Amino acid sequence: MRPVHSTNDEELIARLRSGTVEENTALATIYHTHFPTVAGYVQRNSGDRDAARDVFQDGVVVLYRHIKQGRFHGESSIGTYLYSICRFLWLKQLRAHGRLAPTEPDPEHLSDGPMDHAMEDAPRKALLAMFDRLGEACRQMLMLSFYEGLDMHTIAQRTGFKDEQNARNKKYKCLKSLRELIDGDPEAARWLEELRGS
Amino acid sequence: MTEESSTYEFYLNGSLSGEERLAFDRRLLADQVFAEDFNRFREMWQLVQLAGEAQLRRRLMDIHAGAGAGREGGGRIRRIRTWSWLAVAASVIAAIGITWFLYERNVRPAELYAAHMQAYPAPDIVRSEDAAADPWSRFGELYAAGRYDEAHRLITTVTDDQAPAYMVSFYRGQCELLRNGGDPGAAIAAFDEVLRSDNDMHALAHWYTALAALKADDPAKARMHLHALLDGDGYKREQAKALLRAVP
Repeated sequence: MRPVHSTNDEELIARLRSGTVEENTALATIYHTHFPTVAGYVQRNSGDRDAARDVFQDGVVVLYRHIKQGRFHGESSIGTYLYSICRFLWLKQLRAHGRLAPTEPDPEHLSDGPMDHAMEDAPRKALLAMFDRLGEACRQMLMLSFYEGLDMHTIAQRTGFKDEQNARNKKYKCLKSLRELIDGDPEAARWLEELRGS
Repeated sequence: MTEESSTYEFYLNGSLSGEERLAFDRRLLADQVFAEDFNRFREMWQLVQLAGEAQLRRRLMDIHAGAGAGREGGGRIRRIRTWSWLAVAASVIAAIGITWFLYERNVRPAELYAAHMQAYPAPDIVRSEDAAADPWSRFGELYAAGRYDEAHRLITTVTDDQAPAYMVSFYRGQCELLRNGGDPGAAIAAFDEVLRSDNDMHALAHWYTALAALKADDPAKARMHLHALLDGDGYKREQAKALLRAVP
């Protein structure tokens, strides 16, 4: 990863929102700038470096989602926000393992951990394998729209469609195919229902 | 999917205003059909979030390992296949420009092929526990690294439970076009398998069949597949139009 000299938070947020190759440089900058602080905290509080890596990556997953969904606007610095998320996630783990007594309620804006923590490894892998069956073009379309949160104009440009309407039609077809895959697999539908309730 | 889909999406990605959100929540409680339709949509949305998180975690692991690039290519695990819009825009402009230039020169089909052929990005693969024993994962790595000869040999060992047959056919066609001494006729046959099954890669298959036909010096077949793209959902339409003007 080439070094990125600017660590201006606004610029990092803009890069993460862009969904372009710039996104990776922003992720790398955030990683290299803030991992040591989080690692220090976790290691001072009963964790090792691997646990610190896991909790930091969980924190970045949540931060990424909040930025994409416009829930983080830079009211505090990225470092402070990420540290709060990671601290919260680590304390939650300690509590779950009986290493810490329950104290204050979870801060609402930080209470949504990574989605993949809400399910066991086997169902998660099976669901990902099912998503893979969707086909490259549809996977890309749905990821850009639902996960990256890009608008249809940008998606049309990115995926080579002539205009937004054509891209929208494609997205509709992709959703239909995904629905068929889910409906064709009762177990997957049950797992997703559980995920919904978690 | 219903006409409400975009409202569902706004609700799930948090872009409804406080008032709109409240109205949405009220309707969920009051209208069972609406709630059921929304829940079915939410399942799909959650599945995409799950896949997105998995992809992001792979990128973070790459950064952690210091292996670098991720989306920019050259990553330890795989290249991410999303192209930047700048790259796409540049390639469209370049393709149209090159086509015009070649048209003016009245060039041979093989030259048109060389001017337009770009490897389709590697498949994004969910790695199994034992990647070494999983030919599809290994294929993705070799293909992403540009080792098309080896990738081509390996893809023949991929079975149906590892990857959908049409996707395997598509990448077999890619390898035939990209490897040293590849056979464009075999590539056309592989893309034809994609076109004969029900999947969402038909537009891609038409585009690459047209290129393979140019390589095989079969402009009539190339024109046929370019016309199919013009009749399609808009994918590569501008490039297909430009190329049609240049095909002899």
